Amino acid sequence: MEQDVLIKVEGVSKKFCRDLKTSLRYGMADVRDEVLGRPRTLDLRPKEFWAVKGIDFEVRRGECLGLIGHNGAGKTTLLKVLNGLIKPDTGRIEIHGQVGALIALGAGFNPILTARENIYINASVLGLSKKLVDERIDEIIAFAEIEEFIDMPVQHFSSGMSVRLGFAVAAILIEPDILFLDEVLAVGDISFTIKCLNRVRELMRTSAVVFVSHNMPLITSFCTRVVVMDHGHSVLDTEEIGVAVNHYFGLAKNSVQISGTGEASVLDLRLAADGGGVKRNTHIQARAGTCRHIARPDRKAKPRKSTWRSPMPP
Amino acid sequence: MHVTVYTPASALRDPRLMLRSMFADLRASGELAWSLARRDLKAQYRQSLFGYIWAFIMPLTTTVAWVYLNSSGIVKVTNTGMPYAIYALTGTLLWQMFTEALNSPLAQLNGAKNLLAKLSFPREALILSGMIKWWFNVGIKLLIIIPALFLLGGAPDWHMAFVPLILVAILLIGTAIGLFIAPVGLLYTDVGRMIPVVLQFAMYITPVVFAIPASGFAATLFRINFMTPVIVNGRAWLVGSGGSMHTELALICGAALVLLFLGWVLFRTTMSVLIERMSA
Repeated sequence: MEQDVLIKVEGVSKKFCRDLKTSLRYGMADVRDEVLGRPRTLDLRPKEFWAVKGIDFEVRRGECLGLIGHNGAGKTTLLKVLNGLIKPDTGRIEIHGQVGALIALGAGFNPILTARENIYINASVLGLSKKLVDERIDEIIAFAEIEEFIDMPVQHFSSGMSVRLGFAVAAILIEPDILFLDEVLAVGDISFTIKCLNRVRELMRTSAVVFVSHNMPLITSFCTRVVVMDHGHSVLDTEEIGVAVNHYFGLAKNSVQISGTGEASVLDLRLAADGGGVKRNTHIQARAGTCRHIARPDRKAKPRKSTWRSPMPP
Repeated sequence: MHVTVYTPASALRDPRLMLRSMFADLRASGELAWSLARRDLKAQYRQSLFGYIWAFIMPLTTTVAWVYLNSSGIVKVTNTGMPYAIYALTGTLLWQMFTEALNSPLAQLNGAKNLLAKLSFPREALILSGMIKWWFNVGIKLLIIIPALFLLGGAPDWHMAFVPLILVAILLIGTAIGLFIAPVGLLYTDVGRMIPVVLQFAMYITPVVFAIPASGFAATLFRINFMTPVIVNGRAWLVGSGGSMHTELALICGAALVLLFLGWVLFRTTMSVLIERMSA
């Protein structure tokens, strides 16, 4: 049961159009084809491009697939196709079980209504019943840490507070088999972020997760597998997270500029024995995306947990 | 475990599966529809001193205007078979109900673009929530119009019991047309701009404020207009008479039901195509 393939993606592609007027015209043509039950045009029409092209993967229960890539690489589009919001142009997607998405936090919030009212609205948009909210509303309020503001209109909330509320509603109520996450973990202050990460980790244990993020420490700590996307294509699909992250950094056009102390997060460190030596208590610094060869380590020197100098906890 | 499969093929390729998921989604959207309707109604009136009183203002001013015109003798149209004020008031309110029902699907979808583009939920809930809001507005209109009928010298009677039928008919016809308009309307804003223009013309060939002409080209237009039997009977039942053109009314309702179902199918098949082109 734990090893069920819950998400199966085979050769999924999606094309978009660069020009608005043309896009609308194609939209009408697609509507017509859809109504007549005709298959979609497979070739690119003028001004179209592949936003997602030929993606394959499987995710089992308990696994977390990370999608990384530069802005516009097709990650969010792929997530939309997986979530059934838009149809794939080619390929096939099989989704087994209940889908929960931590995307668009606070969807359906109306600024004039109170936090309490908005909790119910948000929950019903996520497909959760009023009864369920009745049972767990105290838990939601406690999680969002907004006890004294619960009957205040959401328009007077700070942006951090309303995102917290949105996260709390979704994260407390959903019990998904499949979880989609799109850049929503870094919400609120540091203590809330840690709480979010703990909750997500709990949810991940029992679900198959697709995780879109630009935050490499998070990717490294959550994912069991990573797909690197570039211009819609999957350029790397590996279980070695460090390799994937390296590859992703390699895609960057600008050379890495390090500010602050000059120390960077170590994303991957491999030890290889080939001449030279490392003594106990030696500090090794590595720059993001570089590979350090450390030769013949001292037998007594046990590698210790690395320190993360990034603002996010690993 | 529930399995969902997404492929490029049109949902119409598997009608049985489509029907099953249509009704499953309809059942699933009840609670969401209520929740969204309550949200919109509450939010609409909360930021005001008079609150829900505003919901009564529009139909009330229309009514007061006609009562005044009637009592002052400014309008004297005699070929309507009843005081003209009653004729115009009932006509206007019924016509308003129709235009609101027709505009509702597109307005609902446009208002929820942001949700549509980001979350998956039964899309039917948006249409249903529009219907709930429609009933709310209709209820208020009736609360105003019925006392006003007595005031204007009308004599509503047991025919009033048929009025809910005509309301359902108006909602059916309006929503059916609205569902056909919505897909194109979501892509091109031209549609939204065109609707009031077309409805304005349509009103002049429907017995809303004018009586049906006895002969001529205009008379033909009135006769082939499917809204004519609806308005004629709605008005008749409100003022306490039996009405006419009952067969036509029944046929139109039947056609509207079929159209509503087809509109629903169209709505479902095209939604994902439209979301992909929508700006949100």
